[in-house]
Amino acid sequence: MTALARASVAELSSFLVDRKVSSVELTEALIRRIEAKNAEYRAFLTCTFDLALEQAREADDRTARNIRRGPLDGVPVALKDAYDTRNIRTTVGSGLFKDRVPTADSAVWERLRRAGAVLLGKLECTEFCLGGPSPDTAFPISLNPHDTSRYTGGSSSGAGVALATGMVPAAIGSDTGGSIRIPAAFCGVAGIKPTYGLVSLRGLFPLSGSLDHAGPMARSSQDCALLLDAIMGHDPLHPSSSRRQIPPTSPDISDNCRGLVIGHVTNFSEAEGVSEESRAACRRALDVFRDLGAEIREVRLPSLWDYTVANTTIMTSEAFAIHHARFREKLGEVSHLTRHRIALGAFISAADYLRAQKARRVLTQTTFDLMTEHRLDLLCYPGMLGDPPHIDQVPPYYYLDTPLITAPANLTGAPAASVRAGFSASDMPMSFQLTGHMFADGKVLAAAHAYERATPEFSRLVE
Amino acid sequence: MSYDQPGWAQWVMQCEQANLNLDYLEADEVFKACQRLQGLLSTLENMADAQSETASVFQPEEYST
Repeated sequence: MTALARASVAELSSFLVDRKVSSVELTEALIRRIEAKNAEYRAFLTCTFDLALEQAREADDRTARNIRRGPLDGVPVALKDAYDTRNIRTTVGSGLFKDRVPTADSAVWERLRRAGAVLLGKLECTEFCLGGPSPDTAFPISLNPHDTSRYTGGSSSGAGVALATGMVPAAIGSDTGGSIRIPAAFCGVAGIKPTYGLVSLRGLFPLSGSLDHAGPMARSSQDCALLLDAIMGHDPLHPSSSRRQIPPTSPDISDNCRGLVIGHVTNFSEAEGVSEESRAACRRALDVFRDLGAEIREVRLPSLWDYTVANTTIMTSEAFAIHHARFREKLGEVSHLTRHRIALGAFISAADYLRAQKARRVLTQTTFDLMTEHRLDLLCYPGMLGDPPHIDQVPPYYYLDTPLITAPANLTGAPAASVRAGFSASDMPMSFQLTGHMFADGKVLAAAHAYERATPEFSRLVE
Repeated sequence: MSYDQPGWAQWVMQCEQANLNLDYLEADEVFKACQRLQGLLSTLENMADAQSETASVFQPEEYST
């Protein structure tokens, strides 16, 4: 792998500023990488190389005239194929949408484009952001580069794979029950689900509007901060977009955690299904934070099942409401896991839905009350239950078999990062989650960055 | 199969009402998932009782410190 394919967004940005490389040279290098690796790992569904080279030339022109638009100007990125891109096919991973070409850009791509980013293409996502590795998917699923027999995690699967294989330094995913953090964890990269409403959902194909989050994925938390700064902010054209503005998160980045108080959520670490390896990885992460100057306190939240059930009920119910007309006509054209997961929503009554929404309020209030009572800046718990499952062993309703450890942050809307935590005995990436107070996304990313700086051995790209 | 399970007939009727074509679904699996979800939902009863605040649009600002 070339140095350019390996470099971080922050490094690439400084190369471009210092004119050590042009955006066209960088874009061409990544196009060669994609051409060499995409057939093997299938991260990109649609490549936009001509557009990318045109945008790169424009970025180089701005650099020559000293009118760069910021750290992302000239940096190649890719989008999960659930984000609308004008005149570029956007499939949401479904054969039903194989010829769908939006007439407008999503808010996220509007902002990235305005920041000077270069679009390399659209990344594979599981069908309608809720499917999985069915044998009958319309598009080939991405393969986990750490072990191609194991699942990448979904639904931002292509993003996790493209980052881990050096095809792209920055990507945008979305997360309703863990769809940024799960592929980030299973592919060994970084990702943050920002505070609910911080990044506009306009033009992101909805799975469940009240739980959907748009957010960045990259190979480091510092790069996630650079991306988040470019895409966050109020959007008057989308009803869930928050009016609350926060300062840029990237300046918060530092190498220590002095003064931070982190709560280890012990009942999440001990929850049903969490492997001893995942627990140990989380404990080791807490030791690193302690060495970096943080104070660690042990706390307990309500049962992980409570968050999982409320999240699953709301998500499935809203997903069925979005898709029921499509299901009536074309159920047989939807892939196996997707149609089974979404169909469950047909059996959730209005009373059940309201019960889950009420539980959401109670659980959210309880979570933040506990953080306030114990003066906690952050919460920490395992990223995943254990190793990624094998592709042919992903159950249709896995979130009813064991609790979903990513669900609490979707339900509460809190910012939540997936952070690398080494490798398991099977040599698969492990991770932990850091969550924060509402709109404290910068604090989450700063702590994650300090941890990554202290553990460089956990960063491993696939050659 | 779940044909003789309590609630099966009513569940099949719900499928028809929702226009779900059972030719494309593994009915047994979906039925069991429904039962499992209902069982799990009952654990939220105490938390979200009838007296608690009616659900409204989720506003993250309400929980911001």
